[in-house]
Amino acid sequence: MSDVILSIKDLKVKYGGIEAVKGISFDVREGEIVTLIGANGAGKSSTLRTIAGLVKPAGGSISFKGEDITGADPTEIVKRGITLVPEGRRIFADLTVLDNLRIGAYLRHDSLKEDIEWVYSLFPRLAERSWQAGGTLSGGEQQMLAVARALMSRPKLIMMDEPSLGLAPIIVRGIFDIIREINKRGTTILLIEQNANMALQTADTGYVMETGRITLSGTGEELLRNEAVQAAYLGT
Amino acid sequence: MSAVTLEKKNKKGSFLALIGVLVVLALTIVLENVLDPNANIIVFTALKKGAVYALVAVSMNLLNGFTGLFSLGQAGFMLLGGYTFAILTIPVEARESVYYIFDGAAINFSLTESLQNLFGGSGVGGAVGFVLGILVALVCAGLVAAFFAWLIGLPVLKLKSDYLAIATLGFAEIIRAIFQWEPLGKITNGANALKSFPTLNNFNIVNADGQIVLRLSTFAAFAIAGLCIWLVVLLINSSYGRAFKAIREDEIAAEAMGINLAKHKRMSFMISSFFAGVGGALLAMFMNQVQAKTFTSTMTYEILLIVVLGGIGSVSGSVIAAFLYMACSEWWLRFLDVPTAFQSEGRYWTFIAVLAVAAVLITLLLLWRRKKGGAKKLGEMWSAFLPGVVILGYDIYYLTTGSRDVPFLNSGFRMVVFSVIIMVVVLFFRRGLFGDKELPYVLRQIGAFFKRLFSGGKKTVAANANNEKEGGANE
Amino acid sequence: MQFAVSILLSGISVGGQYALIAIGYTMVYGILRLINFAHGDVFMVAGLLVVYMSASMPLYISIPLMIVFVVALGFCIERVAYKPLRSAPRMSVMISAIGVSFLIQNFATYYTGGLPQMYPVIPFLSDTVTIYGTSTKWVTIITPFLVVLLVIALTLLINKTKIGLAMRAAAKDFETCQLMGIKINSVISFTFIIGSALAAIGSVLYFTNYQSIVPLSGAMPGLRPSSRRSSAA
Repeated sequence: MSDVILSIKDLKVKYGGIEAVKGISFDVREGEIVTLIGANGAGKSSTLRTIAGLVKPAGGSISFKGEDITGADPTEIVKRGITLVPEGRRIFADLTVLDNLRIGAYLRHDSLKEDIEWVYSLFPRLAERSWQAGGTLSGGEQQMLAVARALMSRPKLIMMDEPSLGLAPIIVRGIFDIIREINKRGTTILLIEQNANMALQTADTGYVMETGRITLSGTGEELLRNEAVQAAYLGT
Repeated sequence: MSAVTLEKKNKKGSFLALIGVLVVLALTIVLENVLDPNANIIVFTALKKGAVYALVAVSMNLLNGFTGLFSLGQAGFMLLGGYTFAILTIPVEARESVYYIFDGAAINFSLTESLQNLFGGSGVGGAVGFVLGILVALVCAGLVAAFFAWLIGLPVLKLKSDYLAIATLGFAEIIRAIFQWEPLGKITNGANALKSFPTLNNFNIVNADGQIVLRLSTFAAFAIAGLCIWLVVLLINSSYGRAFKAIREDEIAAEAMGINLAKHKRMSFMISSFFAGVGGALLAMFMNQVQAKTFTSTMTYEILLIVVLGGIGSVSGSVIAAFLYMACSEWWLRFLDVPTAFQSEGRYWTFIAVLAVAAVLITLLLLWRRKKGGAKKLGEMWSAFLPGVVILGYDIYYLTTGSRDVPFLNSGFRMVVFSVIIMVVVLFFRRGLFGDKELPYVLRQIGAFFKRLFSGGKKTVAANANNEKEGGANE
Repeated sequence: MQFAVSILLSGISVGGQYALIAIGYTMVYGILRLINFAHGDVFMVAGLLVVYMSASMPLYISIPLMIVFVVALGFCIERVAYKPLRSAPRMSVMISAIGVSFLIQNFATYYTGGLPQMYPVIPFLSDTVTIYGTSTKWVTIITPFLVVLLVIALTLLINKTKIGLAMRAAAKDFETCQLMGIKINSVISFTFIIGSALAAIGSVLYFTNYQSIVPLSGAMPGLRPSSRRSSAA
């Protein structure tokens, strides 16, 4: 078993008076694909956004590669090697595909040529549309762009918030192939999904979140076979 | 709560409000007849201007705050109202002299005179006719403003917020320019002021010898403004008001509910401009003259400031903010404009000491806020030292000059302090003084605050303990 | 012909001066959706600063020093009056801008006693030159070229540099910018710094032409570019 790269202990997140995350703890091991599944409002997005530094936690701790990053600024977090592919893609619609990629590598000062070439080899459709504005891309292409953009800073850990949202099943399969490909290259992936099926098939470890707490954990296959999970999320 | 009790509560509330308003009106009469208006001219200026600006602020709040239409054209509509009122009411004999540059006016009748003569010319009948004439002229002022609002609204109301603001601002400037245009001088008197029309002072009751028996000028301002504001409140509490608020919140959802966007926006714009026009006429009656160059965009900004300071979406907030604003700018801060010296050595040294202590306190306060905001190292908090250093530095400098003149006090300082106060309110009361709540709610909050303060810690500690126990049971 | 040339020159010149001020407004509006009412007054302060500093310092010191102060002023205004209100409703920020504008105008009135101040005569810029038979000042000729140069420089900055990329992105989506590691506060401050620097340069050109400065000098140049900006947008 590889080392733990991200450790969440008793994390609490509040929005105003509402506690969205009520104290969760889990670990992500280096090189793994970990997924958090659960229904809407379970607190999955809040967890990712807190790790990314957009929201300050109300309690608990987050440590990355052994160092405490609880409450750090987003800039600091990106510097340490964690990027987030946000919910809804959030690409820059007025910027070209190339500019979107460049801005993903904002904090880097070295040459981006290699990374851009690799990203274009992963996503040939993006290469074709290099000079197009981001807003003119289809949903699936935008998702690819968002992932590509997150890759540009050469992160150790990529977090993805519902990559399959709003996409056709065949595109979703393509996205998950890419996820596996990136993982093979050594990047750890933390994934949240409502599409429990695909997520659990791809992940090494899975956690189920309900109303702000983790209720189940196990390997991807274990959770796929779990009857409660099947009843609640897999429709069988 | 049953519907019956709800209605009863509302009725009680409006009854109380009515009493409150009547008390205020009575107070104005008492005040003006007890205090010598000539000696206290600043006080009454503040009161009268406060009433006028309260009306205009409420009209702007109707448009900007309740309907969400960001419009900067208020001054233009005030101008239209003011000029209409003046043009319609300048006594016929005075017209020649007022319009002397243009050899006489184009319009040669006066509403007030006509109605006055209709009712007998002098005495009670004449007075009634006179007042009637003024009221009719005020309504005309509002109608003219509303008409132009309709005209302007045709192209402009389709624009999105910021563009609407700039477009209305532009129209206000255009209207101002037109009214100063020489060729229209026979009507508008060009760039010259219109004078001699009935003013607030005409409301003072005069006996046969010409002596003032009862001063009613402040009362008149308050009564007219109060009546108009009450009408606006009625509108806001009606179904139209609800439609306006719906448009402010979400236009698309409002349309889906069946609210005709164009019609309601136009209605809000026209009604707001109507009352702005009446406000302009009232301002004219206060200033005893009307001139286009008074109605600049700065005036609109002032009104916007008052609206935001009072709370966007709060009528009582706008009213109170208008009075506070006028009191501050016209009255309470006047002493800052007059250079004086310290009366005694004690006061001089107190001043020096107060500055030094203030410097230290402000620095500590800012350091504490930075710490709360998450700064850890001293290096990140360097900017907290700046204000303290500046104040202390000035203190030392002032000490070395040895002068005993109170520093800074000079003509214009009042406005500087006033601007600083405004910035403080804007930065620390983000939603304005009242937010979007009205006076009764605010009074209740203040009452609750004091209750908590005086009922002491015991009650709250017991209450908290109870809550915790209940909370624990749920886990 | 002479008349046409003279009108043409002054038209281009005035247009250029307004353009410099307008750019400051546009940049801030693009990122913060805020009409920075105080911008015109910063422009006026730039003029006053030169008037006062040149009384005791040579021009080649006072003008660069003025640019430094004006940039610092723009930066401070953003930090003190706009940054705290970033999460407040839009109208609050606009009121803050109006409040700052008031404060600057009132302070200028207080300090100058309301009397118009005369801008110092800058050698060379104020010298007359004869073109096609019309006599005009050098500043009228130089302004258009300078403005074009600055606009080109600014366009390159926005389109070819990293910070320009950050500014374009920040104009649409603050939060996602943060996810890229961009410090939004720095980007916004940078925008204000550039806008203020342009206003400072514009003030030197403008007041060399119209030499009298009053506290309201900033208001009209402010109104025209802000209406031009919104009709162009």
